Amino acid sequence: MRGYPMPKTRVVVTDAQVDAARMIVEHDKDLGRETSEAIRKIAEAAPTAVKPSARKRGG
Amino acid sequence: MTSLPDWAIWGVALGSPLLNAVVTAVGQRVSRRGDRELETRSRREEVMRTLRWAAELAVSDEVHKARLGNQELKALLRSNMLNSADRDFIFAALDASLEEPVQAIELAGDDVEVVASTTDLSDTGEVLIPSEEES
Repeated sequence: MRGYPMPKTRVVVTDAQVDAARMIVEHDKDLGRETSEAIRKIAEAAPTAVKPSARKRGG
Repeated sequence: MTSLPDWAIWGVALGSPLLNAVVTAVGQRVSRRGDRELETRSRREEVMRTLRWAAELAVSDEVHKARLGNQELKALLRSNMLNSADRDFIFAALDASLEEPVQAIELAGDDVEVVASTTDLSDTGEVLIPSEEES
C-alpha cells in the first residue's frame, strides 16, 4: 500500500453554531465543568470562506 | 341617665376612624400584593413564551433565524427573569443546535478540522452540513 495521507475530515459549522458553542463553554467554565471536546472544537473554529458547495441536506 | 366615661367617648371618637383607616390600609396592601403576584406570573409566562420562541429559532437550519435565536437566548440569560432551572432550558436549546456537528466531530475522531463558514449560504437555499472534502 502506498502511504497516501488520509484527508482530514472537515466539519463546516455556521457562525450561529460557533456562538452557541461559545456560550456553552462560558457557562461550563462558570460552573467549573468540563465541556465536551467536540463543543470546544466548534467554539474554537477558525472562520473560513466556504464555497457554496455541493452538498445539500439529504442530497 | 347613664353617662359614659371620658376615655370611652374619646376612644370611640378617635378609635373608630383609626380602626377604619387601618382596615383600609391592610385591605389595600393585600390587594396590591395580589396585583404584584399576578403581574409577576404574567411576566413569567411571557418570558417562557419568549424562551420557547428563541429556542425554536436557535435550532433552526436557517442561519439568520439561528442567529436571532442565539441573541434572544443571550438576552434572556442576561435578564434576571429566569431561575437556574429555566437557564437549563437555554443550554438544552444550544446543545440541540449543535447536535449535528457534534455527532460529525465525534465520528471523525481526532483527525478533524472544524471551520466556521464566513459565507452565508442560506441565501442560496443551501444548508451547511459537515462535509468530508479535503482540507
